[in-house]
Amino acid sequence: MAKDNLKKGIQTALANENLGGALERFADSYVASRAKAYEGVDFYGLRQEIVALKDYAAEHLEELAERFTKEAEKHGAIVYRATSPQAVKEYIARLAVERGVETIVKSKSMASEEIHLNEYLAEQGITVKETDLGEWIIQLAGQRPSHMVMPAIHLTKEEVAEIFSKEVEERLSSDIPRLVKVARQELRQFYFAAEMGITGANIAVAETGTLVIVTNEGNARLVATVPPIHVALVGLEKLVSSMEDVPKILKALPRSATAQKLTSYVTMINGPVPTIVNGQEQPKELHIILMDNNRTKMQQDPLFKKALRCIRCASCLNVCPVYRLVGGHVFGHVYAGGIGTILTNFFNDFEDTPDIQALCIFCGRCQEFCPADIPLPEMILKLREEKAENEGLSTIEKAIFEGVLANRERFHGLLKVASKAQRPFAAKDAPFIRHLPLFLAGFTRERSLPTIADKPLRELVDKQNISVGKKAKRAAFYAGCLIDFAYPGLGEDVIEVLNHYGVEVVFPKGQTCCGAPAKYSGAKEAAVKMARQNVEALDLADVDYIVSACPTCSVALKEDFVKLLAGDPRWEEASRRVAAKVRDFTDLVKELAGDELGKVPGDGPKLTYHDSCHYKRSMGLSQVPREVLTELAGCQLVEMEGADLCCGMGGSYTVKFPELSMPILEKKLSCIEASGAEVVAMDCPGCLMQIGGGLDRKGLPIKAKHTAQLLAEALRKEIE
Amino acid sequence: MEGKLYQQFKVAAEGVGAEVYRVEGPEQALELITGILREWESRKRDKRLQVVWKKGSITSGLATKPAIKGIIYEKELSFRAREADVGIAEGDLAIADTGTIVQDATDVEKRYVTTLPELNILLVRTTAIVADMEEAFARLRPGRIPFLAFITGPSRTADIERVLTLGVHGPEWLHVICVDEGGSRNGQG
Ligand code: SF4
Ligand code: SF4
Repeated sequence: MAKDNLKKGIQTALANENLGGALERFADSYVASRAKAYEGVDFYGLRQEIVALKDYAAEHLEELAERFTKEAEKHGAIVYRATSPQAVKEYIARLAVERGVETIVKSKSMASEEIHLNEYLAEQGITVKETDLGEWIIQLAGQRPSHMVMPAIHLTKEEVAEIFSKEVEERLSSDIPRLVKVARQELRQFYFAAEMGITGANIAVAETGTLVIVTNEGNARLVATVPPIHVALVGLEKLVSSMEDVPKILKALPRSATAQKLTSYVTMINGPVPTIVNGQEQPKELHIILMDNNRTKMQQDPLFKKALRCIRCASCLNVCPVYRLVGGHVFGHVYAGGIGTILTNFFNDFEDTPDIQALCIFCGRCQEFCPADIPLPEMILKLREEKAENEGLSTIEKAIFEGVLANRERFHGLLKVASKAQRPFAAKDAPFIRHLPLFLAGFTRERSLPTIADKPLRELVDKQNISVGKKAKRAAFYAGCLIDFAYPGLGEDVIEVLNHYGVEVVFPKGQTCCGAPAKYSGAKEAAVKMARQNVEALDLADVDYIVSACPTCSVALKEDFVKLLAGDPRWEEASRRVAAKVRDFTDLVKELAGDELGKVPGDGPKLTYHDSCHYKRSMGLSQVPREVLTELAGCQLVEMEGADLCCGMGGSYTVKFPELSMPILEKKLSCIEASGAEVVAMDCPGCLMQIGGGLDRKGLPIKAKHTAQLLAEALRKEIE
Repeated sequence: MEGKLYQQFKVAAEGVGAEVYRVEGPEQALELITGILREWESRKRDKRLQVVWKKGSITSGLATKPAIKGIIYEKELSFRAREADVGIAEGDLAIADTGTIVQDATDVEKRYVTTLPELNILLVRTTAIVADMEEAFARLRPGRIPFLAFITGPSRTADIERVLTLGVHGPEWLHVICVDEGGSRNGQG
């Protein structure tokens, strides 16, 4: 049921060309303008400070709420602590009735959207006017915001003209400055007519009882100034401990949200201020509502607690490859994108909430850009696991993860059969293959697939002298399914290059799938089994390094296995020993090559580099492969735009959401093509399959290659 | 030092759509304002220009008003500001880094004057330009001032197709005049 809703939502969004165009243009320009706004600012340093101050606040939530209440009351504000959305709504409605309020003006408040305040007040017969231009448009259109910062980003100027024309009963053209003027004139009167103004707040300072409100339009200033009553609705996560914290957040929020150094209007409020009522100056009535709505519940979870760091800048939406395709409405509630997936899960518990965690492709881009370093991918994965735990895996999932994947012999036997058939599974098997490792899951029309090799690497290595002479070092090669069974030649290249740099290579036969397909489907038990098998096989090998040429496998070996096997007396230690030896192939080659770097003639192919998600973001490798490719393989590097944009692979994602995976790939391919390179290099066999297949399908004369292949080619050329 | 901060302030403020001037003292500021208002008058030929001027320590000593055809109000400002075309007020500090004017806007008239008219002229002492927000915080008492405003450029929106448009709810034009000396007291307010 929920799944169908989600699919339907995606279809509607994809069919909306206006939406696609708007989001695409925005996503492309956002990264550059944000980078410009951060010039001269140490983003990573700043975000550490934000993490520290926000974590402190989350840790002391109750204490800060009490302190804030006390200080704000000293200034003369009335503070109300509300646990539930209902309590907030009733408080405001009661206040409105008691004071004879008929009209309320509001500036943007996501907290009020979260609890559907407007609908409630309207039911009580109160007129509520949104004054933020985007919010007003949405309100007139009877819609939900699709973006935290730009609520109406999904609408075109023609649609806005249409909406405004109805409101002002005049045919308006789609001239944007003119539309803005209309909004100015229309809304101006309401500030003066309203008896109450409702704002949100971006920061609430506990030590001083101060509210900080930022807007570009200046509407919050008017909402907080003109009407005689001001109600500020503040989520508990807005609390910070001290005034010193404020400049830090104000340094990050505008830069991340709108690529500005500072928002046009920052207003700091300490208690009620004078206002004009019937021509007379009198003090305002200031009510501050501190709203919980499951924020303290969030705070009690060691992982989800980190979501309280969020400053609602929306950069996680802006950089998300899925959001840029489908926009906000697919996410079902007011919060969208990565953070929306988490917040909706805590703040709303409607049963028909689409299963939005499924939308995530785990590219990690949201966290990379998040000014509060919130581990969104990890959180979304946790939700997926919880779902699998609660609802149980389907029979087919059980059969695959537990019956096949977790049983190496059966799994490898099956692959052998498949290699003989060469077209292993028909489309009707889709539910079956979607849970298999990367390459078996990749059945779609838009991309050619590599066939399963006649002989997997594990059989080839028997015949190949993988230890040439006496070597200084020894490495175990962990191939992972894709290299082992689809790209054994790439595996041979890895071995050849390592040999060249004086490393003897062994191939522990007990190795099996790293368990990523199980992990990303939330099938933890099967993942644990695979972790054990791999640790056993690798721990036995007497080697200096365990080398992987697949970032997904590397992350599994280095991090996941240790987590999965923690507390298991038999395997915990071994998993740590294994993790400590794991090296990425290209990174190790750079180290081994030492002085040789930069000594080759740069006459290799003209090449562009694709940053694979896990390679860049989980392993922090982005400069290293570029150096190796230019200074060791002699390639000529030309950067493409969006080098670190996801290619849409994400394992079984291609099967679950081909309608999303394919446009993501298309985008990547067009960036590659525009670069003018002959070769696109990468360090992930999954990306290699996705991008290589895509290029092939499109008939583009560009070759997709793994760094290891290019290095091996360069070595062979040298020897010739 | 002051010159450097001023330059930095000017570049940052103009980068966000403000116009920045620097004058020696209040008399020169008056001259400049007169010029701006006349220019404005020539644009608004259909009606008489209405100006609301909230005097502060920089301009309160001025003996004369700008010689223009329109009306300049210095009283009942919150009432007059609703119809006014131009609002003139003073800031307490300026922040070089972001091109921001900081104003204790607890006085309701200050808020009306700086928000409602479409042209806003803000005067600030050149000596009151500080490097960044941290320094501004150190000079003020941000936890005590009932309404503290930070104004960076004119009112703006990008809510329709992300096209930057100025003057949505607040002023469409912001002019900042940095005044080097004079007025009723020296140093920042
Ligand atoms: S990991 Fe990637 S796909 Fe998932 S929410 Fe973050 S940016 Fe979006
Ligand atoms: S999760 Fe991070 S990036 Fe997303 S809105 Fe919150 S602070 Fe911004």
